[in-house]
Amino acid sequence: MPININLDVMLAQRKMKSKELAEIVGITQANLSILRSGKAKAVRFSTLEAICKALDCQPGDILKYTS
Amino acid sequence: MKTNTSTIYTVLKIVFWIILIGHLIQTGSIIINYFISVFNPNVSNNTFLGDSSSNLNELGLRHYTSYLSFQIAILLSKAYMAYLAIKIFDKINLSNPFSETVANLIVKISHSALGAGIIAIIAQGHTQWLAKQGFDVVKEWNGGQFLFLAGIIFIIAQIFKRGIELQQENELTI
Repeated sequence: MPININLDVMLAQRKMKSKELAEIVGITQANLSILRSGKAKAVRFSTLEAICKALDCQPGDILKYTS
Repeated sequence: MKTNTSTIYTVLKIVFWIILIGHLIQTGSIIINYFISVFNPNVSNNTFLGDSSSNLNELGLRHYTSYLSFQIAILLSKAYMAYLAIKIFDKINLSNPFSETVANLIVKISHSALGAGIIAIIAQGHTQWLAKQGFDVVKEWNGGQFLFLAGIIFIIAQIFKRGIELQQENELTI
């Protein structure tokens, strides 16, 4: 997948656990795992907004395009 | 609305079971009647089907066998389609209806209908030839209708497969 979601880096920087992020964002840990593993086909804007709000970052901080 | 749908499902499942059992009984009776009539031609005067194939016996065992083989093949195709429909009712999950299993069953039904249509068309040709030979055999095999059914079900199967792709994409949308 050309677009990668680098949640691990932000989680480490914010010293937050994935379980905590899943609860704040309102998604299951399984779905968060799908997101982190790169298996997700799409992300809703509402989910992206909730993640950025929880991690206090910009979408560009967690979304990376690689050709 | 949900109660209506589940009631309709139950009724349809019962109907398909009746169709399956009915066709199997019909097939069995034709097979038994055939083997008895080979040794005692008078038995085929009034078959289970209501038509008289006794005069076909005069034509020869080959054509008599062919005629009944076509009927058995089509009845078995119809019974198989009813069986596949029952399996769909068992496998389908209405909360996530688009699954590979159900799609494959729908494709199998379309293939079965196609096979029945081809057999029916061949049988129609055979019956017309028998009629030209002077035998009083009038039977409409409905080959065109089976082919029409096969086409419609095939289109539905393709739409269903696209539904599977969309459902999988939706499941992987976070």
